[in-house]
Amino acid sequence: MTVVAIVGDCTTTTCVALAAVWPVDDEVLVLEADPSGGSLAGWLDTPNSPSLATIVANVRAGDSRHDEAMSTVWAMTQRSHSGISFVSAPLRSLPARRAIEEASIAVVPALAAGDTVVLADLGRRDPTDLPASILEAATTTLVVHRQHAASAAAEAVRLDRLVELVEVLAVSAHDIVLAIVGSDPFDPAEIAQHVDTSVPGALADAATLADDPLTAAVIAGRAGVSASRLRRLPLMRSAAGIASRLALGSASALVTPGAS
Amino acid sequence: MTDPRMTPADGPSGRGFQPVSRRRSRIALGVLLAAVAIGGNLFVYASLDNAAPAVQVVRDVPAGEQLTADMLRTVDVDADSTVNLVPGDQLDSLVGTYAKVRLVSGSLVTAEALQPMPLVSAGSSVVAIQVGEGTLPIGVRERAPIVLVIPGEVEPTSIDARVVGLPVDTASAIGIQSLSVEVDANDAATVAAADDVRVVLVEPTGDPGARQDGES
Repeated sequence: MTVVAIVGDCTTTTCVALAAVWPVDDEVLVLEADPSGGSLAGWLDTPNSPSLATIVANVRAGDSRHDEAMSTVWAMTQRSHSGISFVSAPLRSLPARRAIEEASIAVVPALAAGDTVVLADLGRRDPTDLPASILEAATTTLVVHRQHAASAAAEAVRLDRLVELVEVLAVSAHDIVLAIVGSDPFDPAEIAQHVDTSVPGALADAATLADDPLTAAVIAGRAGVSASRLRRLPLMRSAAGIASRLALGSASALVTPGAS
Repeated sequence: MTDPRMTPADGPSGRGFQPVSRRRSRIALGVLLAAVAIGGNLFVYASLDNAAPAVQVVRDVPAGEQLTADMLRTVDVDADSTVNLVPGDQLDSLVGTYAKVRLVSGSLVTAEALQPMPLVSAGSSVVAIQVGEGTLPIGVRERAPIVLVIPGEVEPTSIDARVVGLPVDTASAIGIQSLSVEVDANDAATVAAADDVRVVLVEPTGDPGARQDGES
């Protein structure tokens, strides 16, 4: 089983990009567990229901067998025209938050016990409000940090918050990989070094994700870009490197910061 | 996944991401609508432009003067079909004709303002008479039939005539104007010798020039 928790900035885009480029032998399910509300159903042009709330309501609390819970999960998993299998969070934050809390009882353990690769989109989380069940089930936690190029001072403040998040994650997460989007105002390698220095031994790896608004827009439903062109766009190429690293484990070749 | 219940409802997920394709039918429909709109506009505006070439006089031509090519040109005129115009392609045929009336520079030529023969026909003579300012009847115009009255000791002499040219300058310093008239050749000497000639405007009969047009 592989559960990858993705937390921080641009998590939904990152999840879909990783699912799209995940190695072929694995089966990938995107689980949207963002308490601020779901976006995937809209982005991927599918109905809002069934959602995680529907699944939670249909998985019996007393289900002791994970395969029964998984049967329900797969029956309600949506498959978009773009080829992504996903479970969306409810659109609004209150139902989304409740569904995520309920999912920790039976759905998350079932997913963790299955053979499917689960990419769990946790959204931009408050470090004091992290979903413990998903983080404990995750083999790897991918922390995505997108730089804001407009102000180095403001970015420095955000980096402190990033360090805080990594500190909290280091308590429960098994393996933390840092993905940095953009190379301005700070060099991604410097950021990784700063985090590693601030939280020694917390980061298993660091990588860069291309700041690629076009790919992000396509993932969010923009038309007019062919599949072959999309594969050549920077975000998909950098996501492929991270997907390989996440799929094969830390023994694989690492995507070094600043490489893309 | 060995348990068949764990197979995704729509089958296993494939790799890659198929972006939302362009809605080609909508694009084609939009292009078609745009083409129809453009075509419609072109048709409407093309149909609004009914300008056709017509003959225009480019300088003043007094009555009786023979037209030459440098007096005329063609201009595009968008006029109702009932407007009396000479089509531009007939310009060459107008060269050599004579102006029946004064043609003002810039005006459009009408066929009725021209005649193929000179104003002074055979057997006629043109005589200039002097008339006092204010003695010309209102309504005297070129080609208007008039009667010249020459006062005599016993009784006045009346001679039929036709106006050829009106006085150019009506504000003469001495109050005398020159009027060119066409009279029978036999009466020319009488009119030319007269010191006092009065002009009487008579009821219009026919235009000899017009008759000549009809006869030609």
